[in-house]
Amino acid sequence: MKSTWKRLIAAAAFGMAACAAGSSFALEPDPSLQGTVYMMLPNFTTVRFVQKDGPAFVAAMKKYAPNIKVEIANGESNPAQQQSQVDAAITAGAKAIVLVAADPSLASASLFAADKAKVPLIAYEHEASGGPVTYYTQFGALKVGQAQGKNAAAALSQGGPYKVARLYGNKGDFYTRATKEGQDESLKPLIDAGKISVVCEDYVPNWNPSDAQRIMEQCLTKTNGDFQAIVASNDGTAEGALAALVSQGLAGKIKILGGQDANVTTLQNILLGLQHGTVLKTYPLLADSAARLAIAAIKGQKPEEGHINGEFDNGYAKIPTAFIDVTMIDASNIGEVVKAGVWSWSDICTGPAANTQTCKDNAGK
Amino acid sequence: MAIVNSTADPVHRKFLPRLAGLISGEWRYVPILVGIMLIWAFFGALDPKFLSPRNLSNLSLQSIVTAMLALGLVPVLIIRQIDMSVAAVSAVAATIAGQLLITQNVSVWLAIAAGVGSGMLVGLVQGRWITWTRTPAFLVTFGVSLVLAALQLMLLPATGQINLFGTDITFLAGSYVDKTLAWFLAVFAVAIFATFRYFSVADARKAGLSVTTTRNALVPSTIVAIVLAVVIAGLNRHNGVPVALLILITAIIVLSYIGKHTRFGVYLYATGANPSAVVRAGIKVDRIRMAAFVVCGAFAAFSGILAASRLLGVSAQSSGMGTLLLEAITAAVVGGTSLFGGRGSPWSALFGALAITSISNGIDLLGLGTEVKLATQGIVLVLATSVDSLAHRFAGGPTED
Repeated sequence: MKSTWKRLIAAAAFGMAACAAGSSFALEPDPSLQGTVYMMLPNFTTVRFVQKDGPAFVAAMKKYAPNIKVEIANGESNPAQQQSQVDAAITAGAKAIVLVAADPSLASASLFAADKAKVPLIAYEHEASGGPVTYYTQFGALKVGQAQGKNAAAALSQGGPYKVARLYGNKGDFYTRATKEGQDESLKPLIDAGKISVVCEDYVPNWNPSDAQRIMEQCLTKTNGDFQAIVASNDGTAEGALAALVSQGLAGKIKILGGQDANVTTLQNILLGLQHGTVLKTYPLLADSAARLAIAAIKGQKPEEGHINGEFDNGYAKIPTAFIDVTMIDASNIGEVVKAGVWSWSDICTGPAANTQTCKDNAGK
Repeated sequence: MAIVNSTADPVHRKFLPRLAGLISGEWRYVPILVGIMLIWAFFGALDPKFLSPRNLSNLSLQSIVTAMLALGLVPVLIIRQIDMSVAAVSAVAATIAGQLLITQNVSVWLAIAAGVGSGMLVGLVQGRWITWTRTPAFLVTFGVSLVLAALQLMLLPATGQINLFGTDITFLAGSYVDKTLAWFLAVFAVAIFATFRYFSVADARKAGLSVTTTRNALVPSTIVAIVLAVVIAGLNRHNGVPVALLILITAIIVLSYIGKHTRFGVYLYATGANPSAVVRAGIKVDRIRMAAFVVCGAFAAFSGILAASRLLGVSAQSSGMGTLLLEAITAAVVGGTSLFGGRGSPWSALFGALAITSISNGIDLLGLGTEVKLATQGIVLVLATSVDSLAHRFAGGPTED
């Protein structure tokens, strides 16, 4: 397990060195392609897959292969159900399958089934492991962690030394480990140099915001509220941490750094000065990458030059992977979220955030 | 071997059933209260901050959502049923209240009322369906919880989240009772309690029972006064008594009164203990059952609104998900409400929630991590429920299998 992990870091580092700007190449629409491509979503609880990734993938396929039909299935958090959906798609003659694994560690039967039927399978975002995969496309937890760490280190570079609380994701997840590893690249040197001391750190079960809130309340009790910043690994846990600060009257006094997903609540908190920033994953870019990889696989061609910029060892083989860039968002560049097509100004500018200058400047856009 | 021992030691033989009888009857809160004290002593010894006013304030707020959910489950458990949809009801109610507040700009009271009303409606539909079709409640309510999860996704805005920061609803979990008013309320509560006990002693005497004013009115009233004084003094040294805690305690007192002193309450316990006898007595048992589900839905909904008020938001990920359902059932059972019907009380919800929240609170404070938390909660669950079952058995009560 550990060695797989180390190889992954090496692979991802290689990926970044190889530069990730590949997906900007133009791809001509190809009306000659026919048939059905299936997208397998993992659940209904991670709202982005249903509301953002699915529609974006449909749109991208329509752009590049207008005569290919896209079917979307949802595994409802149940790996067994997802497996039968994959089997059904293969039986129905799928041209390609884009799989967002319901449980990445329990996807291997689906991977082998697609491979046996010679249906190209693109593993999307989640690291479906233990079987053959045609391509991976993902933002990559390591990249997210690196962006968080770099940003937190920059925010804590002036003055100090600072006392910091750290919130990680669900213990035992691949994603949690990789995110933390990425953060540590920037934070560990500061910790070793004594510029940052970590006063509390804990894993948040299932990234649940309520648990993050309780953990942070306990950290405030333990330290008597004497620390300057929280580094949270995603927006949900950052929102839980903020609720803890609000109930103790410390909102805005203790910095909340880190974050990822560009949740609307978090973007509002950023506008209100309650959280520093968040890592934006531009879902349409990932969906676009998946569409390009699916089309290349259907045609039996290689993806465009530079699109595959690394590899991911999934325990079965080293799989060619497209690592997609992430963007660090803070109050100064929050418009990037709108530009990326993730949320609109009318989504973001509701409630107290509507009265901020940024929202007033962008009213009606 | 056991027989030889018990005949050789008559004092021991007498003592155990007597203690067991007390624990399964009059002293039924003793094991859980001793348990809470042990947990507090343990964490307090490891880190004195555990017993600081600030942490007691944390603890009370952290327990409230689970306690409120467990409180709703108590009447359902008493009638020997279960409601697996409470966590989903709490999520839907929070979503309804939040959406009305944010998108429709309705008043906070109307939003809360609509949320609680939706919970009662779900309870009514479930209760009617279960009593009409005679399908096990476990299956019906589990199915309903899936439907409600879908409903929540449909009700949430496209962003998947409702941000309640800066809205009026945050007062529920974020405000505190005025410190002087808290003392006034405490004196009032003790006075009412003492009067109530005094008159019930008088009634019991008339009925020829051997009770004394000292043992049955003065001592309990003094204990209540001391406990209230300690709690209020502690919480007042931080921010004060949370309004949410006051709401919870009031709800528990009202439900306790209904359970003990109304005809409905008597029927409720009888329905759980011996349903066929209740039917033979000509009582409309289906109505009792439906009422229990409606009460359960109302408290589940209110607990969801409280949770949203505390977390300052609603989302599919944060609301009603994860271990909340099991935590609520665990709280009620650990607190002394039987899963097998007929026994239990509203206070069990508070005590049980306090016990399990104290563990996660203490472990988070010490930074011991998830593994320790899961293992400790599991062990406490087994021990706490076993004390109840063993007490019941040694007291010579019917075994629950």
